[in-house]
Amino acid sequence: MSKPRFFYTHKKGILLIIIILIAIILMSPNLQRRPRYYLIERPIVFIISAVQSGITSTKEGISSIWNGYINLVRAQEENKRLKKEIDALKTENSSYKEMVYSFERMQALLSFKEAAPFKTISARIIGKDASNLFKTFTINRGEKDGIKKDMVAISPEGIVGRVVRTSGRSSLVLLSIDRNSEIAAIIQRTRDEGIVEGKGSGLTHLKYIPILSDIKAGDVIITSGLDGIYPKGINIGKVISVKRGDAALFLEIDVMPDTDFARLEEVLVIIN
Amino acid sequence: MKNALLIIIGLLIIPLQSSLVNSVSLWGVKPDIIFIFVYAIGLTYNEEKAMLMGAGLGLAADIFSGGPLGMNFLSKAATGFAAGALGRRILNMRLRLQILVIFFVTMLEVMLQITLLSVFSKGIMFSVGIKVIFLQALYNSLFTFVFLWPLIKKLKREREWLLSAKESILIR
Repeated sequence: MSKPRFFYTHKKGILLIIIILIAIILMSPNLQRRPRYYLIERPIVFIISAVQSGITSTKEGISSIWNGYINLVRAQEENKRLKKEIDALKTENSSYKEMVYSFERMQALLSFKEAAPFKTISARIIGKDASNLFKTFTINRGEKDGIKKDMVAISPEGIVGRVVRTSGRSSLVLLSIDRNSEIAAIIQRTRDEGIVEGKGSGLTHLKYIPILSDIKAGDVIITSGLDGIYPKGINIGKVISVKRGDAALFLEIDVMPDTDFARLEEVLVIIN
Repeated sequence: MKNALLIIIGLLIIPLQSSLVNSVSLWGVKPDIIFIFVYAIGLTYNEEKAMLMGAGLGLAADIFSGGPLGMNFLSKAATGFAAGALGRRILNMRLRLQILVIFFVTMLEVMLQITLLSVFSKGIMFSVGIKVIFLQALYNSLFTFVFLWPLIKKLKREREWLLSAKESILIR
């Protein structure tokens, strides 16, 4: 059997083997730990980020128009005679409301930014993780804005996560609720130190708190700064449950993050 | 031309998956439109094309994900292979069975991802894994059915037409 014929008859198998081999190479630890996107990845990141940004803006525009439309329909039902005026007013009102909400959000972010003891840069979330197994955000700031790996993203409520990969105009932020996230933490009241690890769901858990600690539900958890990544004193969340195992050395503590990740639209990235 | 169009659609699917699809997530789980696209390629073309498309889109998804590079590359290629191998055979099945097939293919894909994660990364919590496997399988089968039903019907018609043409040639 000649070589091209062999390839042709075993095309599927050969292709499968090539894909598995490439996957093994891709999964090597060196490639996983890359702080920046490789040159070969950058065009893909650039194109997809631009489309992502466009889609996010269009989505916001459509939802604003849709809100206006909903208000329009409701106004029609309420009073037909005053339809036109009410329609216009409601639509206007809705867009004003959106502006007010946006303004309030920005104001909160700005006042937090001014009060925060570190230099920050605001960023818009343009995408969330494509997979259901990880918790990451893509933000519209990258190396050109001074963003580097391991810079911390926060919101007025507390910790959001840290930058794990950067490109020119966008970055990937690993959220504190992701399974791969670990933050050195301290219990504000008892001063016990531990590590907050993401659970991959909406919660995190606090590890290495000794069984003798008197931590209880409602206790506030803040960053301790001992990991050298997250600055000290930023809110992480509140304890929602404490379990004591029979023969365990440490407590099992669930922590509800203060940040509402589902509704987050903007973040601040600490740049110093 | 067709291939270029498929690549463009594929490249549009990644930002759609990471931005717009989030709006329809249930309990933190969203449908996987990359899976649906790769599955459609598998049904329409063959294993090789679906595998290559799955690998390419999977790699792009990996670049945009916090997970290990190569995880979606391999799992989406495997999905393409499975969809291509099942191919037109699925068209003979009843509707309920077709949905069940999609359900199981999704389950297998997520299970492969979780296995890869346990080997190459930190893994995920058991409860989260179970939730994602079932919800995503449910969500995907529903979405695949809604979006691919016209395609399945079209392919079925084409197949019936081919079979009848073959028969008439044989009779003659």
